[in-house]
Amino acid sequence: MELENLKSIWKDISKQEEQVSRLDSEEITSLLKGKTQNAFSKIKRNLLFEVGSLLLATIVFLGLIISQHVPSKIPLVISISVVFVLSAVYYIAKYYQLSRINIQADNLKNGLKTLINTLEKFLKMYFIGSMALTPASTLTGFIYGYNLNKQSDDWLSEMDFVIWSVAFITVFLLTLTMYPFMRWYLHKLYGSYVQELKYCLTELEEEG
Amino acid sequence: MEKQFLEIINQHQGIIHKVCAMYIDDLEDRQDLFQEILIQLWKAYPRFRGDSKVSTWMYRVALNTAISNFRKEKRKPQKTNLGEPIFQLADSPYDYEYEEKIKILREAIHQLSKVEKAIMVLYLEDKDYEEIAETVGITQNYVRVKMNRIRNKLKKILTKQ
Repeated sequence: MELENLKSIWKDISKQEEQVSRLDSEEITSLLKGKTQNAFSKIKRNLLFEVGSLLLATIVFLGLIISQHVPSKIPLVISISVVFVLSAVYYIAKYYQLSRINIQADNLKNGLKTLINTLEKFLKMYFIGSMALTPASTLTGFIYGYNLNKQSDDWLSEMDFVIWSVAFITVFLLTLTMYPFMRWYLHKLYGSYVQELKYCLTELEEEG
Repeated sequence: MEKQFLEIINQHQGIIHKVCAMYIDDLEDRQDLFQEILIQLWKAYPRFRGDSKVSTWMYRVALNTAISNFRKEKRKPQKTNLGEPIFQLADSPYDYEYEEKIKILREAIHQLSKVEKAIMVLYLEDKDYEEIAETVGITQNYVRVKMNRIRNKLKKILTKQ
């Protein structure tokens, strides 16, 4: 059987397939209401989740601290809140940046390039963000937890060398554990997918 | 706008079915891909200015979506079962010879990479090298090279039959 024969079989089958699976306007409209499952949409949903979590954490944190009325804790509260809010703003900016990208109507090669580039940037940003926020939030949690019941304005100086050491060792160990975990997690989420896309792009670029 | 879009889809929905059939065997997954392509077409439609033919635009969106299709690995073994129908045929008298040809076509498609499938679906739809090159984003010369490779690959499969 030659390639031309395949063509005629393909046409026959496609015709029959279309007759069997053909959808009417109502069915198409109903399908359009569904949620997209592509990589960009998943990333956008992840970003929204991050923003929501950061804002919720900031509100809870601020609420707890303010309720204690300890003026010396205010700089700490402000610093942490600024970090969280700035991270949330950055994620929102990334969300809108992703929304503007339209790879679907581009040719396959350019579409793949944009997709791979965006995914790699997102994975890097997500990794760095998680690695930075882990020690920051753990240390804050530790300090806050240790001084939870202390109402004095001198609470920070009351933490002696041993306590600081324990705090830093905990943060260090947790960050150290997070590093392989985050690498594994991101690879599990998108690793083989990015590899597959790169394989396709390499095939299209072999020409040069 | 929705009315115009629905008209286009009604007129050309065969394109989506063909791309889905080329990339996915499992019926349920194919329906998911159909929906995904449909949604992507709807999202891309406001930016479609008619610079290219509607069919070219639809192939671009459909192939981009199929190639970048993000699916979670199923827990069940991903073994390709050549016994499963890749195409859902209408009720018709059983034709062994025809079924055999479909099986060969199916087997041939399984041997192709995602990029080759994209080129193949356009070739099978009688698109010229210029349109294939434009849709895929490679030169016409490279389309020829790829087509030769695909031909050789398929020849090996077909001579085995």
